[in-house]
Amino acid sequence: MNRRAGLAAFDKDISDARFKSLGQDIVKQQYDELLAQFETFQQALAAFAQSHAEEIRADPQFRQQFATMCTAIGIDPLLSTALPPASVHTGLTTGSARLDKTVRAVVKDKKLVGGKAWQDALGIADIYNELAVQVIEHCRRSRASDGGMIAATDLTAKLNARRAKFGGVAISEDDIERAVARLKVLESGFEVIQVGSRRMVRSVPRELDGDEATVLETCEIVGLVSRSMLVLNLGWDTGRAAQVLDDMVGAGLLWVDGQGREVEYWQPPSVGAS
Amino acid sequence: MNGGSGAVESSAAAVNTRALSVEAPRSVPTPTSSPVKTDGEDVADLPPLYHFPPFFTRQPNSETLSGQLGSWGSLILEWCRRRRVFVVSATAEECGKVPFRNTAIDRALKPAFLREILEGMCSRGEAEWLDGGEKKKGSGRGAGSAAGQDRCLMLWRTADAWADMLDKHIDESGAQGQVLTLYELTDGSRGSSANELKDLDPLILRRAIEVLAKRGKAHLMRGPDGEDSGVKFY
Repeated sequence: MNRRAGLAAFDKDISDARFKSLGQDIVKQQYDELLAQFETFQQALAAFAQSHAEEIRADPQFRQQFATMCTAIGIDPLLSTALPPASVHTGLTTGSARLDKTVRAVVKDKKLVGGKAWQDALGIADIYNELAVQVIEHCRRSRASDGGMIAATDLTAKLNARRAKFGGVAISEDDIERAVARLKVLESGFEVIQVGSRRMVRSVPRELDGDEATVLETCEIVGLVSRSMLVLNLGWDTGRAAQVLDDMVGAGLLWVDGQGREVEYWQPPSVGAS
Repeated sequence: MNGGSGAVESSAAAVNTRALSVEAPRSVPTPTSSPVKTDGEDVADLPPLYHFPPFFTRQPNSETLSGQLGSWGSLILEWCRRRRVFVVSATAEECGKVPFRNTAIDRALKPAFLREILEGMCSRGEAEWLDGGEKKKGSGRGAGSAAGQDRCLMLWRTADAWADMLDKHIDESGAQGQVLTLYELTDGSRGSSANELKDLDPLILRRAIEVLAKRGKAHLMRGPDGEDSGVKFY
């Protein structure tokens, strides 16, 4: 260490450099501690996953809770690599912004829960990959009759029926949502959206506009929609009602019943191979 | 909303619960609990789509329509197979009967739409027009046709499969070497092994015999005026 007398002793650059390296030492120390803790946690989690692998595979509810826990600590249970820092749950906040940043850096850096061994122990990535494929296939087949919109509960029931017949553990609506979330990267329109009180799985890139969503919500409540219903109950003018209904029929989102007292529109039936 | 709620209620009340109880959208419940018998026929084995009112309306969306035509085709073929129906006619009279009509939800196919459905079945080899029925396409909506112009033969079993059955019956009844009339084969007089052949449509029977003839197991005989007079089995 160079000693200088007088004003030189307060040379800012050198002091800065020294303080900086001291600061870095502290941060590094915290980092190392956190890393050690994470690695301990990782091992505990891996052991847990292994001893409960069967249950995770077989029980949709347990699987959902496990997946939520993984997500909360920044681990994607399906990829067994770290989630992007932005998506790490705030449940990890330590109260210090800089420490949080460090935590996220550790999680991102260290690819916690080492890859293949984890996947093999759990096998749940297989479940989701297989499920995603089944979702795609089912939606493709039913698109012609439902316009690419199917209630998540219906899809879950259909796929469970199929899986019961052809093999595959039971899945829950939560599993479907996670599988569809993974499909978003395909950018072919797969998404779970909220329509009224229902979660719908959409498999086409066409967005629902406000009027269309209203029509679907009405269908959910009443069972069907008619032009006069929209005009009398919602105050729409006839042209608007006619236009929206026609557009939706054109998009395959509604079926037409021409044998009632007026033309009535229904949401597509739950069809599709089981 | 006073006038509005009236419209909603009456509209909803027009929708029958039975129609909605099986995989169809929810509705305001109306009191219907007993299993419905339509025209004395049991419709329990028909698919849920049968109870979906729009299923009886030709859908304007072409993708939806093509699925709908396929669904109707399967429904009709299966109905015919179960009840040994050989011919379906694209007429108003036929559309008044099950399964082309569902009295529980008060819906029925229109003859023109039934014709379109049958056309689709023919193009898939599931059916065949008798008497050149397809020539009526575009010439008016199925009204006032000559008898036989609207009849469609249902091929819910292949000619080969029918031939196998015929063969089996001949073996079981020991009829090799005999000459039988076509009438005898289908009138149910030849014992229980002939049950499958009872009232078999003559055209299908002929085809089955032709298949057996190709296999060298039968010979269709003709009378002096060219009419079928009998079959000899080997």
